[in-house]
Order: sequence, then C-alpha cells, then structure tokens
Amino acid sequence: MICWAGPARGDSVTEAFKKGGEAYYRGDYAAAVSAYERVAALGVVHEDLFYNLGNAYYRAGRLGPAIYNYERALQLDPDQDDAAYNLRIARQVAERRAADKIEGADRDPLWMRATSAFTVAMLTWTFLALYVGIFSLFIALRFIPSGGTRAGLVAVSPFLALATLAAGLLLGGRIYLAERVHQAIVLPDAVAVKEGPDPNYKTTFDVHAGLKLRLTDRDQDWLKVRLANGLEGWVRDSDVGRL
Amino acid sequence: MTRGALTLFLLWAADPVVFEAQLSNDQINFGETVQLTIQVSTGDPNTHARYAAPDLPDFEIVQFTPQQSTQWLIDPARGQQVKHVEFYTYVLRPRRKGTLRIGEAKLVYGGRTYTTRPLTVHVGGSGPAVAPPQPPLPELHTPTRSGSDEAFLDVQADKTRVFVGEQVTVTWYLYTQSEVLKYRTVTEPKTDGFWVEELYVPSQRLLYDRQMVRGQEYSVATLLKRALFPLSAGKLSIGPMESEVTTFSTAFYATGGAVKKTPPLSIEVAPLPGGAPAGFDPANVGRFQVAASLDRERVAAGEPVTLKVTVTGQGNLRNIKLRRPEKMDGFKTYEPKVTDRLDAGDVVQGVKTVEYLLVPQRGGELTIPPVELSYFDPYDKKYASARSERLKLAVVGEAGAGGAGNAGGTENVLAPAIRNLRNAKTIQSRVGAVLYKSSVFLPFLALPVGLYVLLVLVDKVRERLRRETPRARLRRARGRARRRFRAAEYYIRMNRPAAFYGEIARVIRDHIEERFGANVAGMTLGELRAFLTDRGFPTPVVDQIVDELEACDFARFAPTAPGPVEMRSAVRRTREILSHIERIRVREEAA
Repeated sequence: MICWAGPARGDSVTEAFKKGGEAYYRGDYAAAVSAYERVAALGVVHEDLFYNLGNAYYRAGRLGPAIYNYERALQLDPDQDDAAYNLRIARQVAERRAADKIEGADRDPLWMRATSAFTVAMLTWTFLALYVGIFSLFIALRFIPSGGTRAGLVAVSPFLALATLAAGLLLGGRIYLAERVHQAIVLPDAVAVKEGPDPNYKTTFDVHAGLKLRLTDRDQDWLKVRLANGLEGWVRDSDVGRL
Repeated sequence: MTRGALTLFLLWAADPVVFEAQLSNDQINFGETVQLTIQVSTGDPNTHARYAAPDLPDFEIVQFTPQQSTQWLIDPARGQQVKHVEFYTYVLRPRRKGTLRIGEAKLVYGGRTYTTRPLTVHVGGSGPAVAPPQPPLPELHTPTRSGSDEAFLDVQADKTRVFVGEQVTVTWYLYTQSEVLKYRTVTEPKTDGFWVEELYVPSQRLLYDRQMVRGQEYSVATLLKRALFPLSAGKLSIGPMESEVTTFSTAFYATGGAVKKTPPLSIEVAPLPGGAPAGFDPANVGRFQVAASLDRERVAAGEPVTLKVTVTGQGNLRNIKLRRPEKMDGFKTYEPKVTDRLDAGDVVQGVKTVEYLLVPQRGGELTIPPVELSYFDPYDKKYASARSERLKLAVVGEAGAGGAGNAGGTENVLAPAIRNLRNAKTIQSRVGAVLYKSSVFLPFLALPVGLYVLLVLVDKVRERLRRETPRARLRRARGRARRRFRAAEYYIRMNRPAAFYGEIARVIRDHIEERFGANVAGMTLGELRAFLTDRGFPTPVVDQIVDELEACDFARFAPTAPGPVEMRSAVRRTREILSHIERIRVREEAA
C-alpha cells in the first residue's frame, strides 16, 4: 500500500491534519471537522484521518458522518480498536436517538459480516501463502516416494487444502463485497426514503443516522437503497456517504 | 396392585390404628420453625377417638392445622374397608437453643391408649440464647357475617377511614367447617378508584388457621391480600369476590361446589388537609427519606456523571412524584431512569431509584443542590419534607461545544465517552494498489498449477520412454536411420565413398539391433546370416542384407571408388532392406 504525495502537498496535508487536532482539543469541533475534511479532500486515505474525522463529527453532534468515517477507518484497518470502540458508542447513541427502529435493518447477512471482518490485503496474503503451501506440498510428494515424511505430508494435506479453500472463499467474498456490493451510511439524523427517485414520491419509511444501506441502482442524483431486511426505496445521493 | 401397595394394604389390614409423629427437620437454627405432623388413622370413623396434643413447653405454636379424610379400600376377602385419617400439623418456633424435647401425643381409641414416640429437635445457630419476646399475635378479625354457613367468604380492611393516597390493607378470607376439596375464584373483586399493590396470593394450596366464630370452630384461609391506595376522596366501594367452594360434605351432592360471595365493603376517603407546601404532589403520601449520590467525585468536563437519588420509606412508592432537581448551574441534565423495588410485607415499602445523567459543561468545583421531596404523613396527619445533602463534583478541564452524547435531545443517554484522537505522524501513506488487481496476481496464481502440471507431464514422458517395447525400439531405430541417411547424403555430396558405405553398413546393423534388441555389431557376415535365419527371416531377404553389407565392405576398401549414382542406388536398396526388416514378423514376436 503506497501513496505518493509531493512535498508541497505533504506539507499542506500535515498542516491541515495538525490544525484539526488543535481545534479538536480546543473544543472547536466544527473547525476540526473542516480541517480534517480539507485533508480528505486532498485525496488522503488514511485510517487515522477518518478516525479523527469521526471523532470530530461525533463531538459536533453529527452522528451520521461520525459513523460513516469510523466505518471508513475500519475498512482500511479492521483491527483498529479505537475506531471499533467509537463506532460502537456512536451506534448506541444513534439507536437511542432514533424514535423508531426498523426491525432487522442493521443486520447484514452472515457472509458480509464474516468477510468484512478482514481486510482484502490480509485475506489475499493469507490465501497466497496457503495456496503456495499446498502446491509445494503436492510437488514435494512427487519427489518423496515413501517413508515417514511422506506419511506426515499426506496427513497434513487435507487440512491445508481445507484452509486454502476457506481462505479462498473468504477472499472471494471480500473481493465481491469490495467490488460489487456498494454500501453507504445515512448522514443526516433522519432521511425519508421515497418510493421513487423524486421528492414527490410517497415516503415508504425513514432511516436514521449511521444506518448502513446497500446501493442497488442510480437515477441521476437519486440512489436506490436496500436495507438488510429487504426494504427498498430511494434517497438523495447527498444524504448518504458511500463506503 | 404393586408389591408396595400390597404391603401397605396388609399392614393396614393387620393393624387398623396408626398413630405416629413426624418432624420436618430435627436440626434447625434458632429463630427458624419446624413442622410437627401427627397422623391418626383409625378403622371406624363412627368410633370416637380422643386425641391429646403433645406437651410443647419449649416451643411457641406459630400455626396449628388439623385435617381429616376418609379412605375406602376394596378388600376381596373382607369387602369394603373404611379408614378415617386425621393429620394434626403444628408449626413450632423454639423458645431457646439446645436439644429440645417434643412430648408424647396420646390417642384413646376403642378402649386402648396409643402414644407417639417422643422426639427431639436440636436448635443451634447464632442469635440470642433466649427468644426475643414475640409481638402479640394480632387479634383475629371477626367475620362480618354470622357463621351459619358451613363455608363462607369474608373481606376485611385494616381501616375504613383513610386519606387520599394512604394505604388500606384489604384481605379476603375463606371460612370453612369442612375440608375444602376444590376452590376456584369466579370473580375478582373490583377495586376501581384505587392504586393496587398485591401483597399476598396463595401459590398452590390454601393455608388454614383455626378460629372460633360465634361459638363455632372454623378453618380460615387467606385468599387474597392487597394494598389499596385511594386516588380520590369520597366513599369508595370494593366489589364482591366470588368463588366456587367444594367442601367434603358437599362433594357428593349433585350441585357440587357452591358459589360464595364476599359482603360489600366501603372505604371512606378523606381529602388531604390544606396547607400543602409548594411543589407538593398529592401522590406523595407516606413516610419517606431521600438520599443522593454521584457515581464519581471527579470527572473531565464533557464527561457524563450519574446522579442517583433514592427514596426509601412506606407508601405508594411506585406512584410518588419526585421533583426534577433544581436548575444545576454548569450541568446539562437529561430525562431520568426510574426503578422501583418493593419489599415483601403487609406495608408497602421499599426503594425508588431515580438516576439522572449530568454532563458538566465547565471546569471547576460544581455543586449539585439538594433533592427535596414533600409528602403528607398520614400517621402524624401533617405535611413533611425530606431532602438529600448538597453534593460537590470536581470537574477537570473545559468541555467543548458539545458532543453526540449530549447533543440534540433530552434522552437519558448513558453513552460513555469516545476514545481520543489518533495522531499519525505521516498521514499520507495509506493509499495504494490492491494486490488482487495487480497484473502479476493471476500469473502468480497460475504458476504453482503450471509447475505441478509440468512435473506430471515430464514424469509421464520419462515413464513412457523408459518402457522397452518393440515399437519403442523401432521408433528409436527409425530416428537413428534418418540421421545416418542424412550423413550418407552428406558423404555423397562430399564424394567420400568410404565414409558413405560405413554409414550404410551401420544403418543396416543398427536397424537389426534395434529390431531384435541384440548386439550384432561384432558379428561376421556368416554369423549374421545364421542369426537372421534363426529369427525367421526369409532367405531372399537374408541374402539381400548380407549382399549389401558385403558390397559396403568391398566399396569401402576398393581401389576404384564408386560414383554418386552407385551410392544413391545403395541408399535406395538400403531403404528397401530397412523396410523388410521392419515388416517381417520375426519368431520372437510371433511366440
């Protein structure tokens, strides 16, 4: 994972990032949000940036963007405890704030939960290591006609093959999730989901800040969304933050 | 009939009188109770049996319950047998520690005297050596109706004149002179105008006490006990309770159980007197104490802290109204979380807990004012107030403009603080190509598979080549022949007849060797002729081979060298010979 940033751009990024922290510690969360957003607008993609941005939004009382940025941080580094912790807190607060709740709206399918627990890079390297390992074993078996070593390798091979298969399935699911499943987070405190891509359509249900939606279609600046429980509708592009 | 039942029957048949005493426990702690059950079983219910209770000088009788029943048994030999059984149950509380004796109970029946064996109870445990004087048992109430019925229901209130909000304890009883076989509530009593707390509902079976009512002995069971808190002044009525009661004596009548009904009951409810303090809520009637505490003494500005206010005392705790704390300078407050816990007993009492979430908005030492509860005390018939102590909270730092935990609402958000910022030293180092999208990813995946397949193929080829079949030998021979003919053609062009005929001779001998897998290079022409003949070669072919080899030898060493025409002719003849060698079916193969 490499990103190039020129010296001049690097200075402005570092400066804006630093200003964000200063504003945050000063209690000026709006200024902190502004500074961090400026860094993000420069094209920087970093889990600490999104985490800090999430904190600034949370402190500013904007739960939707806070959750969105914690999710972005976790996408880059699922092992980041701080982001996972703050995301949990923000979701709890959002859930309490929401006057009503759609049953099952925030429960992703099992395969999505299983695959999203790992990064693509982690799964890719794990799969490659196992993949090379299993073929090395097969090749080694061709050169070891008999004996205890061969027996040991033969005994290990089914487990290694299963592990390789599991890692391959997880990697496939993760890549599918990253490439084909387009998700977004609700940013305002409440958004009316319409039956069609126009404000004049009837509101079918409301979604609240921080809810994760699946994007299934697009019509100009309207997005068709689907909840984990299958409910569908249309929201404005500006009301969600795409993951 | 099972063996056990048969044994019982034989015992019963042998001695119709059973008189024995049993203890529920022979070791108890001081202050606990023990149950003594004395069983009297006689054969003839019409014969009078005189029972004398055991001597219990060291025990206080907490409860005494007699029960009786009649059993029928069909004996094939003696016909129907009747058995009268009585149980006398005593609940005893020891008056002192030590090994206490339970005296003998006596029964005179049919001219004979029976006695139970004496029992002992070991009373240990902590506590004073002598029982504290027990409060005198409350006077049993007198039913409002006469005891002319064998069984009837009654209702009693502990008082009939109360203030609004003051507890009235109402108890519903069943009186019976006969054993109750079945009991069922048909209509629950209506208590409109009251706030109701259940105090007692029988769990499984009714528990009886003995009571004399206008000269007659009754067993009395409590059916229901409720604490009622009148919600308004005036005369409030409690509706009748209706129950179906089947007693031993009515069980054999066709009507079965009879529906019994409590008499009407009215409560006079007086309004609360004037002079209520400011902020008093009419629901606050009873006797209460108020206490307040904080879950922490020191917090950072912006971090939530919980103020816990507890109200303890007697009265309708669930319904009392606690005023919100006064405006607390420097705090943001949220709607409280309220929980109640009532203690068991006839008087409604317990603890009401109100938890407020406070978020300090500035640093320094902040003060939480006392929480006050004004109430009317119905015992003293006057208003009173309870208040908590003033609390102080040390707040470190300064809170910011707000936060999700305290923004946008008045709900009681108990979310703890989020974790602090992360300060990455280099923020521009995280974007990059994804490995699975790289152009080398798929080739890299194919590499082990390709390598493995290659190894398998190489092994197969090597295996095939290792196998020594006639076809393999023929293939090898043809390859060598092709190479030698190319060399021969070269020698023709170079006009080197000796070398040319050397190649031709080697082609023929090589072909024979490969064909038979035998070494013929060192054979003379005579030996070769014999070899070929032995292998079944036709004589013309053998002759042709031998002649050609002779011609080769001659040409190699002849003083006059043959020209290219002769040499090409030799090539043609040799090809023909090779063809014969390949086509011929030799004896080895035929075999």
